[in-house]
Amino acid sequence: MKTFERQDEIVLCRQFVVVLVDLAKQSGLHPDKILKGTRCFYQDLEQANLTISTAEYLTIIDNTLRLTNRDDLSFILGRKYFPSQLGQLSQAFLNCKNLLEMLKLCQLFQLQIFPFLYIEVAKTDNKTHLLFNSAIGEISTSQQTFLYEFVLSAMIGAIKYRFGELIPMTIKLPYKQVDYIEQYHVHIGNKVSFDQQLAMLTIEDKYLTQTLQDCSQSLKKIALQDARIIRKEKYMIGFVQAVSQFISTRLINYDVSLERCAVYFAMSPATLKRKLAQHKTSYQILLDKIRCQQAIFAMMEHQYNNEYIAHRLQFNDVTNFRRAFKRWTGMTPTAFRAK
Amino acid sequence: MNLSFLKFHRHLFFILLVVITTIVGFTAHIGELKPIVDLDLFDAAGEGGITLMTLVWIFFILISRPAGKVTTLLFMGLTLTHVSMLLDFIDEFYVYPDNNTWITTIESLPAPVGMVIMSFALYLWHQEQMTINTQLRNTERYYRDHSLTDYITGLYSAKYMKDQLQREISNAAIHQESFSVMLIDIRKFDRFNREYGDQQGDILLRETAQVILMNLRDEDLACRYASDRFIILMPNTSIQNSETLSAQIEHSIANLAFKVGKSTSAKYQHVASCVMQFDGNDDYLTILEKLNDRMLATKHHLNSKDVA
Repeated sequence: MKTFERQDEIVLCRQFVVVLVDLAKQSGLHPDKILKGTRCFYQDLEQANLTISTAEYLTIIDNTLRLTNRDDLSFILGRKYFPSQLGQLSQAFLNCKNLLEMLKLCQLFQLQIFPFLYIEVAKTDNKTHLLFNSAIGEISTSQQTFLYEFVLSAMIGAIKYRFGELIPMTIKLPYKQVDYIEQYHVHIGNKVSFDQQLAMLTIEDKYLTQTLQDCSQSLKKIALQDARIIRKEKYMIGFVQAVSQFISTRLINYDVSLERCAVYFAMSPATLKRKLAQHKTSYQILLDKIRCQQAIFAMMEHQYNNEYIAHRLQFNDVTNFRRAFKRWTGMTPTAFRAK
Repeated sequence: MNLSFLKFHRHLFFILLVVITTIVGFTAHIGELKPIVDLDLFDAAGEGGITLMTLVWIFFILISRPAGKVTTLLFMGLTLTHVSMLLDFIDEFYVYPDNNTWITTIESLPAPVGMVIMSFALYLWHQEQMTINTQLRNTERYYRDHSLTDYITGLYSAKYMKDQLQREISNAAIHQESFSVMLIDIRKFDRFNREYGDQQGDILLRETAQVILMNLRDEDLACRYASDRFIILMPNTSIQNSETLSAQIEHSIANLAFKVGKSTSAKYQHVASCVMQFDGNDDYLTILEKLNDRMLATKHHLNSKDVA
C-alpha cells in the first residue's frame, strides 16, 4: 500500500481550493492572501490538475480562519461538495442503491474524496458507527474543527440530496462547543455532542440499507470502471492513517510495539519515528489515542467492564488501565461512565 | 475603510485646501519667524496635535456621509474650528509686526462660530438619524453593533439575536411577561442554489428577509439565523398570536414572485416555519435547541406530505 506524507502534493485544487478561494473573495478578500504560505497563486488555480500538499491545505485553512470573520465557510464548502466536486466519482455515488454502498465508496476512494480524515466502521446491535480520525497526523483544534465541519456537512448534504431529507443520527465531536451553534443547527441538523474524546457518527442500520430512488447499478459499474483506473495509479492513504490502522487492527491480539510496526512498514524504527515526527506526532501518541478511543467505545457502546477492556487492550491489570485512562481523559473510567 | 463617498466631496476638499494655503501663505507673508530660543516646543506640539485632529474629523465625516445639507454644515463648522486652531498653531512660530496684531485678536473668532454651526448640524443629524431608525424598524432593538450585521440580508446575525434573547429572558422574569420565537426556513434552498447559482440564492435571501420584515409588528425583531434560516423574536406575544403571524409570513413568501436575473417567469418559494413560547425556565441555548428540533419535525412532516 502506498502512503503519502504531509509534503506530498495530493490535494486537487479544483476540488478543495477553488471554491474556498471564491467564497473568501466574495467576502472581499484578495485570493492571494488566502493562498499565502503555499506555492500557488490565484492565476495557477485555473490549471485543471494543479495539486498542493495537505500541509499547504492546512495553511490555507489557517489563513481563511484568520482573515475572514465568517463561521459558515466550512459548512458551505461541505454543502457544495456533493455531487458537483467529485468529478467521475459523482456518477458512481449518484447510482449507489443505498447508503452502505456510498460509505464503501468513501472508503475505497478516500484519497479522491477526503484525504485529510479517514473513517473506521464499527458495529453494535442495529447500529453502525463511523469513527473519524486524522489521516495526516496532529492538527490544531481550529483546523480539526474546520475539517470536521466540512466533512459532516458534505455527508449530510449528500444524504439530504439522495433521501430528500435529513435522517436521524447522533454525532459526537472531540472539540469544545463552538459559539456559532446556529451553523450546526442548520447545516448538521442532528443533535451534536461536543467535547467528547472521539469523533463519531452513529446511524441505525435500517437507514444504511434503505433503497434509494433513481439509481442504476450498471451506470454505477461503468462510472466505477472509469474511476478505478485513476485509483490503481495512485491509491494512497496518509502515512499516519496507515500506522493508525496497523495499530487498531492488531491492538487486541498482536504485538503493537514500535519495532514490530517498523518491520511491517519495512523501515528502521528510527525512520518510522522520524516520519511520524514530520506529521507532528509520535508512535506513543497514536497508540494512546487509539487505545483511548477503543476503551471509550467499548465502554459506551458495548458496556464492557474494566477488566475485559483492560484485557483486550493488552494491559497487565485493571489498575494500570485505570491509570492510563485517567491520563488520556482526565477522568477515571467510573467517572467517565457516570458523565 | 471604504472611501467611495469621497468622490461626492471633491469641491469641499478643494475649499479646505484653499483655506489652509491662504492662511499659511498670508501669515508667512506678513509675519516674522521667531528666533529658535523663543520657541515653546511643548505648546507647539499640543496645538499642532489639535489642528491635526480637526483635519482627521473632517476626513471621517466626509468618508462616512453622502453629500447634502447636514454634511456641508458639519464641514463648515469643523473647518472654521480648524482655522482657529491653525492660526493658534502658526502663532507659535511667527511674530506679527505692530500694525498687524489684529490677527492675534481675531484668531479665536472662527472657532465659536464654527461650533455653533456644528451644534446646529448635529441637531439636524439627530433628526436624520431618527428617520433612518424608523427604516431600521424590526431589524434592531435598543442596541447597535454594526459588526454583527449579516452582509447578505442586511439583517443582524444570530449573535445579535442571542444577546437579545438573553435580555428578553431576564426581562420576562422581572415583568412577568412571556415572549415567542419563530424560525423560518426556505424549503429546497440547496436545489435553488444548484439550479440558479449562489448569487441568485443571495438575492432570494435578501428579498425573503424584506418580505418577513414587512409582515412584522413594531416590537418584533428579525435576524438571519444561519444559511437559509431566519429567526424572529416577538416580545410579549402568546403562542396563538405568533402562529397567526407565522401563517401570514408563510403566505406572503409563497406569493412573492421572485425573478431570476432578467427572466420574467416567477419562481415561487415555500418556507417552513415553527414557533415556540418561552416557558419561563429555559436558557437561550435550550430555546434555540428546542426550536430547531421543532423545525426538523416540521420539515419532516412537510416532506412526507409532499411524497403523499
